[in-house]
Amino acid sequence: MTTILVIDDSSTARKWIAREVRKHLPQAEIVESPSGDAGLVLVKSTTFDLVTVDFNMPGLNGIEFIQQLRAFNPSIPVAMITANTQQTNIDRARALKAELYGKPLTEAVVGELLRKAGLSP
Amino acid sequence: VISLDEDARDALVEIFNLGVSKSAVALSQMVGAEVRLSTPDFEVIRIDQIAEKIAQGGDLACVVREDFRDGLDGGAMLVFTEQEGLRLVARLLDSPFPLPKLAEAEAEALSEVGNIILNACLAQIADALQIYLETSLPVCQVVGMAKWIPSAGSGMGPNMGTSEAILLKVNLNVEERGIMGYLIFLLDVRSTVKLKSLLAAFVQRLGA
Repeated sequence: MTTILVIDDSSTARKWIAREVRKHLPQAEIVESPSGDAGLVLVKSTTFDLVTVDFNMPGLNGIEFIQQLRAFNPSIPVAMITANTQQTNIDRARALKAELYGKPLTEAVVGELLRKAGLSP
Repeated sequence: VISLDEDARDALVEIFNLGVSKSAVALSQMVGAEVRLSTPDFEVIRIDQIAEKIAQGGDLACVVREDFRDGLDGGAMLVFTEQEGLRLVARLLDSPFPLPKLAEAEAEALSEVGNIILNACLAQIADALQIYLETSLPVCQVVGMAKWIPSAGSGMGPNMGTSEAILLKVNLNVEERGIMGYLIFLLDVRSTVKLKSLLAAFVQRLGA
């Protein structure tokens, strides 16, 4: 069973991402978190195949979340999914071994994202 | 008084055009319909003139606002009349229209729409000017047209106590849905000097 953690303060965004993922992986278990702080608790207690995280959120932003995640899990695939696609954010994500994808996610982009994470259906 | 020469003005409108084009693509993907843009309007206005500049006969405005700072200080807003906002949300949530009012779920959805549209534009502008723009979280409000600008800010962006601001306005027209909104960017007067030098550098890079 593929398990994916979706971190975004917007419930609309979480639903959107889950919907697009299920087009490729209908059986995937998708766990939602409304904040980076809550997401960190989850990744410490549960094994995920992929983590997606928004950038601009109350509390930890996406980059801060990934920095803290990498301190204890350097290899888990991470995708930062944000509308804030400034080159600076792309560079920051890549420096932390994460890929940045722009909102709104499309089915094709999610397919690419899953392939890069080794989760091709 | 804010002033930009013709080259700077042309460059600013062109960069803004690139940004709103990205916004239109994002909105089009969300609603599954063509989104048409008007030619951007650019003007220096008094803050208290904004409501009359965008009013379409509605008394209430549905505003999603994000402020930005760092490379430039300002506010970016996606504005609909209340009815247009409700129509857009109904389309996005596959809800029956008309919706009676903008409840929490609808406001949350509209915030996310605004977040995507505004950031698509801001990211393009930031990259073109080679600056970084730190943005606030989106805030969605339905407010009276006459007072929404002073009350909608996060405190992060422009000082709305200033009497003038640069207004860049474009109409977003969602074809076949009858939805029209505005994208508005306000720049703090204090950012104007910085903006001039950024635009000059942008123009110089084009010529290099």
